[in-house]
Amino acid sequence: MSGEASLTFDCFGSTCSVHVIGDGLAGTPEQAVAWARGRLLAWHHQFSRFEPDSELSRLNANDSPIVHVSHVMARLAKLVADAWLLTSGLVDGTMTGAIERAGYSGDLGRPLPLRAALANAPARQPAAGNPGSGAAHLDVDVRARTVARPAGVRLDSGGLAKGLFCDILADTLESHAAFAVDCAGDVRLGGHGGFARELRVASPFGDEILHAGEHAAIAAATSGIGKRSWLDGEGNPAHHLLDPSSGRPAFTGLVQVTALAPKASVAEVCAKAALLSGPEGARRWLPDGGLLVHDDGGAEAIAATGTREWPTTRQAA
Amino acid sequence: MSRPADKTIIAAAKKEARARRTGRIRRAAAILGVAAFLGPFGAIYAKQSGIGTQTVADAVKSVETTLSPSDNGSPAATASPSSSSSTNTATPAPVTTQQS
Repeated sequence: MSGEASLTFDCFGSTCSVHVIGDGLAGTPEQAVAWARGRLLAWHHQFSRFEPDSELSRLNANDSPIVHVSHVMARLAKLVADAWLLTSGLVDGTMTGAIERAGYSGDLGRPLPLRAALANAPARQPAAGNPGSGAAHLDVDVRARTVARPAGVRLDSGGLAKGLFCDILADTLESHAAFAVDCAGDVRLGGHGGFARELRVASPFGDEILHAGEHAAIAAATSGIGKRSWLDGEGNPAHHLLDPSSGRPAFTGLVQVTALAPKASVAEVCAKAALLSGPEGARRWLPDGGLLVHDDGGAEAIAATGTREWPTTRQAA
Repeated sequence: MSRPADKTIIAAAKKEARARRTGRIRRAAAILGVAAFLGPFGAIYAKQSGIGTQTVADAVKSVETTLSPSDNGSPAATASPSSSSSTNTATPAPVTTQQS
């Protein structure tokens, strides 16, 4: 096996890395990782809701009922609409107003110590969807690159965008012998060479590794309440995963969920839905396996069943 | 009034002219067909070359070269990074999924 080119860099308010072995459609391994880095950095500016000139900010500020957008923005909007349908509203990418009201409207700085936040959190309960969400009325035509939504509905790129970016990069990097894209925690592995790569799951309570396995081609996403957290205006612990039914941060009994799936965007939806469902309902969202981390720090590996109780996109639509 | 021999000559000339026209039309149709078939490939090739990526054929050749048994794992086969941020390893680097 030849050497592997790797790049690690700051992006999306976190760290991203790209690893490539072998030449392919993106050129040599060095060219491929540079290309992927360039794409991710460009998407960071295009999809940030903190930059007023980003495409996302301009879309959210646009009063027109139908807006022409870029192809990737149309795909993100479609993913938001599909995720809402697939999860009965649990994964809602239109809660931009609620997340801002909860206190996440800029750089958060250091997260709260997780154990202290949990000790001061409200009673645990599973989250639920909001049937009146704007996501229910999101109408996206990816071919025509149009997004139609009621006035005031704003998209939040969040983790869904990171999963989507992994998948878009993978479409090109699959032509290389092996690749890995780590987009701020959302991961996609693949390549035609079938080389196994170690996939690790980090603990939300520290730097230790909770679980590790070898995969040649898979996607993984981890959703949790430990990193993007803060104290709200009343001094209560808050984080970025909101219960759609209340618009408040969800404390369900799970602090982190890792989902495996064929695609990173699917893994991202599954991880979020599982975490918001709480310990009792999480398993049904992990048909390809995953890892639950409970409030007490206990980690629970979930084996793949291949059984999807939730509808496919087409069935849901 | 023409003689039978003249008629034969005229018929042969007409036949020859018809054959030339048919040949021209056939050649034109063949050239147009080949151009219509290869044109899109050429356009894609030019576009890919323009943005600095390789064609599928080049990519396959490169990968075969990279993974040939003769350089399997040898230091000479190790890619040198163009960026100081790049690193080289003999095996795929582990990746960690984590909340961000």
